[in-house]
Amino acid sequence: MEQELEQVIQLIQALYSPSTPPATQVQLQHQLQQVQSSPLAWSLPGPFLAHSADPSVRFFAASTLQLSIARQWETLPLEQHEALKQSLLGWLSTSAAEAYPAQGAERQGERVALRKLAGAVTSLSLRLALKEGDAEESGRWDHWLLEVMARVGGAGTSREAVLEVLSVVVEQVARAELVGNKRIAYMSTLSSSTPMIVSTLSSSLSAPSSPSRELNSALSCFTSFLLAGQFAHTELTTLYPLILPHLSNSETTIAACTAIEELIERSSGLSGAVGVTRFVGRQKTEELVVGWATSEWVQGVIRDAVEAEDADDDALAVMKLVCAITEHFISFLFSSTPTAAVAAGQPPPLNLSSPPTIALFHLILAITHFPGHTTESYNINEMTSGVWMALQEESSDVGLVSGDGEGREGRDGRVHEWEVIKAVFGALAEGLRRRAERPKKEVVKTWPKDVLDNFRIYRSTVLAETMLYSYYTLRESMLGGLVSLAESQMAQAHPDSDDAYEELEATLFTLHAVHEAVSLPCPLHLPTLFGPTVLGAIPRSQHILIRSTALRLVGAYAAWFATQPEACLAAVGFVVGGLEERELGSQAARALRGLCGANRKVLTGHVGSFVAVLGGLEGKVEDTELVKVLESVSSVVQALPEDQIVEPLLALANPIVSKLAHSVQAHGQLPTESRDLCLQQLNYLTACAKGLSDPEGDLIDLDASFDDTQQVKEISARVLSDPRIVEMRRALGEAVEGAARVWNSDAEVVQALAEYIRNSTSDAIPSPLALDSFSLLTLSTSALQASPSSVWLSIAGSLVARLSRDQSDHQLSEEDIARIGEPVRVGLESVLTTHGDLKAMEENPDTVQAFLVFCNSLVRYYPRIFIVLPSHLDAIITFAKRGLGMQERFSLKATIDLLIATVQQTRMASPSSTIFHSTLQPHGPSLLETLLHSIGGAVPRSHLAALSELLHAMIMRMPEEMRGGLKGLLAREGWPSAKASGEAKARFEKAVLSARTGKQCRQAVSDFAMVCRGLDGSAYGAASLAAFE
Amino acid sequence: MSGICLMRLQEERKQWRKDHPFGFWARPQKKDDGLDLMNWDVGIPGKEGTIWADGVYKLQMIFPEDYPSKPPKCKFTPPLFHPNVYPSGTVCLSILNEEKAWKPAITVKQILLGVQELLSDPNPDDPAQLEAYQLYKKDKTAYNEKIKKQAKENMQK
Repeated sequence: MEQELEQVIQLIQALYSPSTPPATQVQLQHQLQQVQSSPLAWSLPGPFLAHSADPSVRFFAASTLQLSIARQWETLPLEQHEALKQSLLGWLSTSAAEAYPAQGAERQGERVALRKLAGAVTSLSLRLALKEGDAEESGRWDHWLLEVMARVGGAGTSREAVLEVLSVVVEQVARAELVGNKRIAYMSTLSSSTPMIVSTLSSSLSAPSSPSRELNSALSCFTSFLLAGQFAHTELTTLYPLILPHLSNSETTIAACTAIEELIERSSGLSGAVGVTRFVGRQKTEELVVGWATSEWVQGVIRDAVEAEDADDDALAVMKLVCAITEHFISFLFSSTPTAAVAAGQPPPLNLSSPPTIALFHLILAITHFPGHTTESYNINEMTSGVWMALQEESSDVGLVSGDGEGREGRDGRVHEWEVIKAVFGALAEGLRRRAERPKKEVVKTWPKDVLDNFRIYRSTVLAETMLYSYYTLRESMLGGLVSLAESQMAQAHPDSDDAYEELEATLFTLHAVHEAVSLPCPLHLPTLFGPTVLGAIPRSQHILIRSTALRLVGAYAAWFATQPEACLAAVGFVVGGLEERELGSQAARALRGLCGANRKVLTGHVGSFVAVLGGLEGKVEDTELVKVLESVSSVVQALPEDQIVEPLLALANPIVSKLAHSVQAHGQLPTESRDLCLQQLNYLTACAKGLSDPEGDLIDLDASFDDTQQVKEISARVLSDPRIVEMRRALGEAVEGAARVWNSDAEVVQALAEYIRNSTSDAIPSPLALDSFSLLTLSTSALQASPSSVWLSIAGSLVARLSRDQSDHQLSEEDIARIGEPVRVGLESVLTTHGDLKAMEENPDTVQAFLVFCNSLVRYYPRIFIVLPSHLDAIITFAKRGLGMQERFSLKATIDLLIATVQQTRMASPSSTIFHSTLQPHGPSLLETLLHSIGGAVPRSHLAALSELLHAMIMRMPEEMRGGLKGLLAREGWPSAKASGEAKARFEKAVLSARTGKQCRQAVSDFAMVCRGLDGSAYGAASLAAFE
Repeated sequence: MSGICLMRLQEERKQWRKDHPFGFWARPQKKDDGLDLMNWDVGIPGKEGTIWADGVYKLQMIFPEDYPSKPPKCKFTPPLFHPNVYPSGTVCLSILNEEKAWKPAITVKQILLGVQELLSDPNPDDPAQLEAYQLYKKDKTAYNEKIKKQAKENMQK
């Protein structure tokens, strides 16, 4: 034994020796871990802790002890429990006395061993404090923490030792995963020690001579116990006043601020903390405002940080607490206090115009506008966002909002308060506007990319959001102020200077930031903004920054132009000017799309010039931008009246169609070039199809009684029958078919084709650029035959859905069924014959998933197809059953969905229900087996809800078969999981068979799945349950 | 959370912040990483000139994942003494019932005005709690007294 221990010591010393090479360290670590899990682990800590002075050896011993208690407790005989407890208490107090002696020097390196021992004692308490039965007999350790504190405190240690042990204990307790009654029982063992903890903390916090290290330990210990829910009003009443003096002491400010911040957080009633709610009520909050937050000390700390453009950790903690106090304070600020409280001789409560309130707002403004362009500065700026939200919402709830109308009724008699709020939000907006301004070009030039990016992100997120709080309060008056500021900034700009427009840019940015809150039509200020003196005066060349911001502004207010045709045209002119510039192209294309999309009717008179613009752009603008322009122009074309639409439509479409056709013809000679051309033209087609779709198209589908619906459909039919359009669509059909034939296995082309088909066929009104859905279905299934791909399958699936919108299952004649059945057969066989076995399925999960979705479309939209294809239905069910064995989650989901849809088809009032029933029936038993196997662990828990829906549907639809099947299957020993006992299986069987609703079935499945996975009653199982339901 | 649900709730919040009836408040609860748009805390004032007038009644709006296809659940916390409020606090109102009059186009503002209306104008055909319902039917004076007392307890502090 002694020899063994000696060896272990050598291993430890070698491990921590600086001269040991890393490879050897890994090896040593491994050996030591083996020691820790060997029987030696129980006997090793004693001798090491008693005799060794080497800190690494002592640390190893303590940590081995903790591990053994946590992981191999069962190997320690019952009769040794008490002895271990006594020894551990002994080692702990000795260690505490050496780490934190009341007098004299500490033993080097002992503190880490003490922390481990404190951890071990906590682990032991988790074992011993929860024993059941009589306390005496079972050796239950009820008052363990009290005993620990008494032993440590009585061993000649300083108070700090007790604090240190306490904080380890509480950290450890928080980490222990206790649930339900166990948690309640264990936490109650802590409460007997609460008075002692309070008295320890009180002595440390109130003694004038406490060293700052001890004070900080006491403060963090307080916070930890608060977080663990161990303090109620009584304890807090004692401790709270003792913490306050440490707030304004730079040695303790961080820990004290954190403690009070947590307390305020818990007082707001949001965190659900028991016993602490409302501890920091109105009176205490006001005392904090007057006595601390607005004190000279705090003001000085913040002032210094602002001047230095740098906040150290103390200043950060102070600012955070100031924000927390203010936010909490605002929750009282707008409600009146009961007069009784005032009469009782207390000072009158603070209101909006009290000097401390005003001083507090000044501090909050200083934090929001904290200078500098570092991540730290931006983080400081962000600290106040909760304050502004609270102030804006609370003040608007009592009517403190600019303008007339709803909600302003409460403002009567609050004139003075309104002045304050107006001034505060005015100052907020003004400071933010300045903060939005870029520094001079020569400064920005020196910024690395990340600094520039951070500025951009800060400006468009934190700053823009905070700006909105001002806007919600000040409304039109703020808009007016910003617009006239922009006007005067423009008038004073010197176009020759490098930084001519920086200030104006910030103003325009601010106007952009508030756009979503501006109520249109807003006739007062926006005409000036988008008129000749601001937008019209922005230079048309160079000055990229101001132009880019102006383009965003135009895009953001696109909807406003609908009532302002002249301004709209001027804006289009401005935007088009930016299209050809590399740095602005993308912004301009986006703005144009916004303008055209929102103002189709205004712009229809100018389609000709749009098409001309378009012709000039090809080759000069990136393709990604050109497609946006195409979409814009198409959207204007869409709004044209019937008698004017054909020409511009052809002007748009014909060049694309002929280039696409050309690409197909030329592919033999120039394979690469013609493929690129084909891709490009398909993207253009997609863009046009997007633009041509009617923005109100969704309504037509939603509301069949819509008066205009019929009319819209008739117009579309007339346009489609125009001979010129017929000719264009014929050529288009040929070109698309050609492309699909030539590049049928080229993933990129197929993807582009799919995009085009999806966008041209998704509308209720047939698009002039769409081909007939049936021909497309034939096209896609024959492409599948040549090369099965998920893209073609998903196209086929959406085409089936599209076809059913025009003609539903019951409207189809038998001839129709046979006609549609043909391409469907081709599509089904192309996959069933090539991906039939599990291996092929697992290798191509995307194809499998798309195929299942396609089948799902068929089952849901055209079930009667299976009357002509009965053996295909059988093959699909077999395929899906195999699919349950797949682990890839999308295919699994699709499989279960398909099976549910199939089972549900058996109850439809359609001739197809018979075929579904007779095909499904022979599969019943094996399907049930696979299903139970899946529930029992073969399939991830996230699919349980869907699996239970399937099980429920099967039991409802085939009750007899399922009843017998379930009994037989569950009778198998150790199946579906060895963890499920006969009793659990019987419970499950009874519950699912008697479940009348899907919810009851889901509960039974979920419970059984937990049992099968060995998760029932575990903290993890319970915690993760919600995520899977 | 579905995109539609989230977008709609953001829009609802935006509209509420632009304008809302006086005396009401409605805001998403806070959570560690910002706002929890699926759960709102709401205050509904009793209508002026009715026995409900002095109180502001706290309500929780819990939006389901498939909002606005399905209506939010409205729950008074603490539960309210009112014939159409279940003992759990849940409000029984046709526009909040997916099988009755709920329509996705109904806004948060309309819901809250509807609940305010319901307070002083209960629907005796659709009782949700026995105690309040019986008192309302049998002894109006006692009912009125009880409501006035409740209003005092719910006075905005």
